[in-house]
Amino acid sequence: MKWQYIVLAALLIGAVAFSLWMATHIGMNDIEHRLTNTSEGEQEQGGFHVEEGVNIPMYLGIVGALVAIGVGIYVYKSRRQ
Amino acid sequence: MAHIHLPDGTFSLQWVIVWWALALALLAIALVASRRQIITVQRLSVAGLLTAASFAIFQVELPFAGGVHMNFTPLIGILAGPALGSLIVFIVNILSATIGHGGWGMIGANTLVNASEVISAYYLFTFATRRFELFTRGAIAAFGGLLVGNVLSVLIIMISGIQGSTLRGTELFMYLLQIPILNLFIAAIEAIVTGFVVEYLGKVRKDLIGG
Repeated sequence: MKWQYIVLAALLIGAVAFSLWMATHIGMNDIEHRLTNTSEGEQEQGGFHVEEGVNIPMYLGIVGALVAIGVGIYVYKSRRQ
Repeated sequence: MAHIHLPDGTFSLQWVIVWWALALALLAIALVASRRQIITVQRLSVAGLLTAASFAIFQVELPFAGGVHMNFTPLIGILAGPALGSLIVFIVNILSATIGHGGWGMIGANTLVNASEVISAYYLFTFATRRFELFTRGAIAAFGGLLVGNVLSVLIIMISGIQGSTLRGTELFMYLLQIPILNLFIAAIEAIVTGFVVEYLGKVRKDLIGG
């Protein structure tokens, strides 16, 4: 067997072993719950403990930015024609 | 693999705007770069197929450590190149957000994360591992690219901070560090799958490889 395959196998096996060891201690859901200060029950109910009401200005900001980009492209293209 | 699954409202508005602005700047560069290339019908078809395949694999939750998924972003980089690949991951992230996989506000950050996987995998495949065989090149490019994406996703969350969270500084970093370690398992699987796909394509359609 070529040495490159041995090195690759060692790298991937090492990565899998490290990852499995970590998975015996914690899961993705635990991390996400801890990051957002929620329990599993709260997450199912959609009750995140993040600042409420922030979504509306965020959505407006995204829509505003996309509209501004669209207008910018339209103006740029119409000037070039 | 690397994909920020935190809900809308986790990042403050200014950070959502920052990541969106950076993502749009990256997409503008990708558009300019792709206009300088010759985009054949074959490349467009491959890009479309990669978009569909990546979107599909995004939604398949693997039962490991509470649920993870593959991305195929390194494969996108290898087959479509960095310019088209960045556009593909942007579309995949929009489509994923429409079905509730990742928040709308996270599209900017996730596009940057996935584009970093695409770009680093492309350059790893093209330059850094040129002397190896196709399987090894594909696997190393995929594994390396996914590591880059994971590190970037941790950095983005660290920089942005999490609204309402009591975790700060080192404690937050230690929590976030566990995500890339858990993702190593899927990175290894994705590396092997990518290696086999690239090796097979190298045998039957070598012209498809290399963007």
